[in-house]
Amino acid sequence: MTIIEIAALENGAHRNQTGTFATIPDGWAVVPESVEIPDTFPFVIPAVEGQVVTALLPGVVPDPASDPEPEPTQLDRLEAQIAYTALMTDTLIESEE
Amino acid sequence: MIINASLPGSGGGMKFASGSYTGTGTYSASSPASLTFDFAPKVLMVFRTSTSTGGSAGNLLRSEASKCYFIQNLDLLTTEYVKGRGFGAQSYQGPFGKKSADGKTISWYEDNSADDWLYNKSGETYSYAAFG
Repeated sequence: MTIIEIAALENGAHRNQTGTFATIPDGWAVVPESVEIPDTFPFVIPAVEGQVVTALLPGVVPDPASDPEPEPTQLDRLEAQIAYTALMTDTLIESEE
Repeated sequence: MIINASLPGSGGGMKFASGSYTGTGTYSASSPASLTFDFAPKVLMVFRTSTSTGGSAGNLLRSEASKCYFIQNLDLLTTEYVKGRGFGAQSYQGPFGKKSADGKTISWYEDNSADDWLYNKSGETYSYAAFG
């Protein structure tokens, strides 16, 4: 049997596991064989009654290219501040090329 | 599949579980991959069984060649994340692994979203076998 975690992860996916289970963990639900699993799995929107999934709607698979830009580090901020100060005071070191 | 087999001298007998999961594509300690069992396994083996990212899926030698951690002695895990105790490629970002207090849930993550070899890549299928 397949079970999924009812709550979605931050990217919209649902943890899932296929195997044999004597008990269903809290917060998880069984996906009966009669429920069609969309191609987007594990990015799905489940309809759940108790610990049984009654339907799985296709979710949105995130585009890896659309990952948010990482926050600038302290070093990035310091370098930007130095460059800005150098420009404002006309002390920017020119490249020798 | 779960098998309960009584082994000579083993006391409570040996338990075995196998199955599969589909990777969620998440990483970091806040969204780790995890597997849950009806018993506290002693050994867990995980390997990739789909091929969307290339390579020779399901081949343990491939995993070994890639310096992936694919089998873990779970007695060495604690309830806090420990580097090198998860499932995926060996790197300075991990993989980190831990187990729940009852030992029935094993979780792992890696601090590298670009690593295809964390055993939780989005849409990839992985198989597991656990012994306890």
